[in-house]
This record gives sequence, C-alpha cells and structure tokens, in this order.
Amino acid sequence: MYTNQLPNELAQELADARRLGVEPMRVDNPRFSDIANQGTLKWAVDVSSELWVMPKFVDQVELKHPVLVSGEPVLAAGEAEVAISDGVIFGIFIDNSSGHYRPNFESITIGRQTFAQYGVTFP
Amino acid sequence: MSAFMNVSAISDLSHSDLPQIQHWLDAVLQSELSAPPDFNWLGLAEMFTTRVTANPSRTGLQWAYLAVRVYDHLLETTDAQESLGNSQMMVRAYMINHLGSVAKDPVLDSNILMHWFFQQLTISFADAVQQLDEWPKRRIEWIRNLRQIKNRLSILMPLYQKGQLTTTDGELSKWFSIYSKLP
Repeated sequence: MYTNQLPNELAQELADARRLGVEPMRVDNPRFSDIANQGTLKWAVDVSSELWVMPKFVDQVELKHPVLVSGEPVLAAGEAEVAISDGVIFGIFIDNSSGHYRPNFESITIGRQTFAQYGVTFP
Repeated sequence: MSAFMNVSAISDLSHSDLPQIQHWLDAVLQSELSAPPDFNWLGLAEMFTTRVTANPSRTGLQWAYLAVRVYDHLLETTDAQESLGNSQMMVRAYMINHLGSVAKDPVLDSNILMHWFFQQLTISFADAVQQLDEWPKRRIEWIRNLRQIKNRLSILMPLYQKGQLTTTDGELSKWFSIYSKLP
C-alpha cells in the first residue's frame, strides 16, 4: 500500500479538479470511452481494490493521482493509454508513473489485472 | 540566502516558499549539494505543476521555471520519456497560453514546443495517414505511435487554435488535419 507523499498539496489538487469538473470514474462508466479516446489516463486502485480513472490533462492542467482517491492510500497507480473503436477496446500502454505515490513495478501487474476485469488488456 | 534548507524528504520542500526551494534546487542541480538518497524528483515536479496552475501569472511562471528544470533532470535520468516530456511541455503550453510567447525564454518560447513536436515524430505524415486507415487492424506499435502523436497535438492545440503556433510550410496544419481520426 502506498500513501500520498504530498498531503499538503491535496486541497489545491482537489480544488483544481472541482474547478475543471473532473470526477474520478470507474471503467464501466458509459463515459469511459470518451475520456479514454481523449488521451492519457491516470489510474489508481484503492484499498478496496476498486479501479478509478480520470484524464491526465484537462484544460492544460495536469491532474494528480490523489484526486482519484481523495488523498487516501492506494494499492497501485500509474498512467495508461486506451483507445476504443466501435466498442472494441485497445489497451495501448500502462505504467506505474506517479510522483505522489511512487508505486513499484508490481503496481503495473495490479493495474493490468484490475483493468482486465473490465475487458481492458495491455500488450 | 546562504544556508541551505535541511531536506530529508519531499515533504520538507512542500512546506517551503519559492525562494527557499529555488535556492535548494540551484545547489542540487549544480552539484553543490546532494539530494537525499532516492529523492522523489517526479513528486517535486508534480508539486511544482500544481503551483503553476494555481497561479497563472508571473508567480506561476517562477514555479514553471522550476518545474521545467526538474523535468529536464528527470528526462536525463529516467526512462518514462513520453509521460515526462508531455508533462513538461504542457507546463510550457499552459504558461504561453496565459502570458504569451517570449523568444529564448526557457518556458515561454513557443519554438521549443514546435521543435519538440517535430523532433519526436518517428513516422512520416504519409505513413501516419496510411496507418490511420482501419487503425484497429494495425499492430499495437503503430497504434501507440499514432496515440503519441495525438497526445502531443493535444498539448499544442490551444496555442494552435489561437494562431500562436504556425509553420511557413503548413506542416503543423497537416498534422492537425488528421487529429480527429487519430486513436
């Protein structure tokens, strides 16, 4: 489990997300394909093993991983690229990049497994 | 300011003000001082970007200078080039969008963005157009290439739409013409 290493920044990060109208989303949300096709996603698996995603950038602002879980600890986190065409999902890329949580490489395995539960698989 | 802050973890910096952090960062990046072992450079860059976008002004610009320097350091020392490069260039694009382009400025020079976009291209425009046709049937490496181009165009888009990014040969406009078809 990984804790937020920058808790002092959380209030501003949550305020940025609210201002931009960003809310963490589950992968089975009907709007997932919209944000996936826009570009890079940030993802996190919370301590209940729930997967949350949001765009990396909105209106030129980079959102931060703690927004996904209201600053709570995570089991895994990173970034991903997913493209969806005619309902077919293409997992393009996944990593464990997060300066706020600094998860290790096992995070990628957890991410792969959790995305796969929603039919998103990565090469 | 002479004495350096005692920094053992990134949380020590998050309590500090801009001059203190700048003083510490100058010393570390100029090898006058050592960063703590296994220091969280990515966390520091992310902290700076939050402060940039919280202050889209001259104060934000000072944070942007620090963010760009930390991303430069990360790009020299780590593998996640695509993610780091995009984050760094988005900081530049954000500040240019708010303050305008300034030639030779390490953050505000829009030519840096243009150079970065074209330098990162690994496929020709003709190949990209060819691969776009039925891209779901292409190999994953091609789809990844096309997505990377889309992500970089997304960073340039607000400036392009405001006419702040142009090329005399129309090369950039060609890439934007296929933006909506990219995966």
